[in-house]
Amino acid sequence: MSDKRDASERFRRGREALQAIMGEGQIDRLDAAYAEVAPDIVEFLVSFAFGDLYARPALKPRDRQLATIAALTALGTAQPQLRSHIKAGLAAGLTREEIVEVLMQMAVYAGFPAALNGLAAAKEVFAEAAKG
Amino acid sequence: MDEKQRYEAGLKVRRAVLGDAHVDRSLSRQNDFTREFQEMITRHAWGEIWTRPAFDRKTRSVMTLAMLIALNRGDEFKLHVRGALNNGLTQDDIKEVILAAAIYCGVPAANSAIHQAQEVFAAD
Repeated sequence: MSDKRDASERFRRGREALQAIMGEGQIDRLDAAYAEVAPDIVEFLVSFAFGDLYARPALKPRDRQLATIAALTALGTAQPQLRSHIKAGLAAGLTREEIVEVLMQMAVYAGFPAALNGLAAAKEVFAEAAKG
Repeated sequence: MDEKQRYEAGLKVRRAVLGDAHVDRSLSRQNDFTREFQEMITRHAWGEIWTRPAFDRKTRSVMTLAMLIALNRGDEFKLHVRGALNNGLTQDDIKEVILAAAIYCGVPAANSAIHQAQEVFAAD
């Protein structure tokens, strides 16, 4: 399928980074999720977050996921995104122990409720991963 | 109680909690842009909520301080630290609220609150 967005190098770079992190087919899942209400948001997300930022080499993919998991936990408003990035963290080579450790550390900075909600998200993702 | 009476009842509580000096200053700065908002908070927050008898003012101060720390509203927090002292809370009581907030809102939020409370104490 031809994709008009392919004209942009940022978009292509972002899509590659996105799928390396979230798995093949992630772009199709995003397109399907937002096609009806805001198709352009996918291009913004992929070009900026993944094309500009995630594609940068200074942090290893696993370390970037640790930073993202910490930030999403502290925000406390991004439970679905937190679950996606915990999943991506496992795929990037983080262990469950490492993920749980960063979630527990957030209790100090963002409060116990934020950390407990983060741990609940991790529990769900770990249970799904165990099912395969 | 009509709106005017509600406003007057609110103004009385607002003066008791925040002090005449603060309220007089606030009223003297009132202008066409701020008047309706000032009247609304006096009538609603002070006249309808703070006048309710279920909790005494000390208890309401404890609740308000905790919520303002959680919401990261520094200026309002300092205002209500002054109000809490007027309502009979001690510096130690205020310290306890901040310690409890550290658990739920995180240490940085509580750290800011500790500094802000001290600024208010120092201004006395």
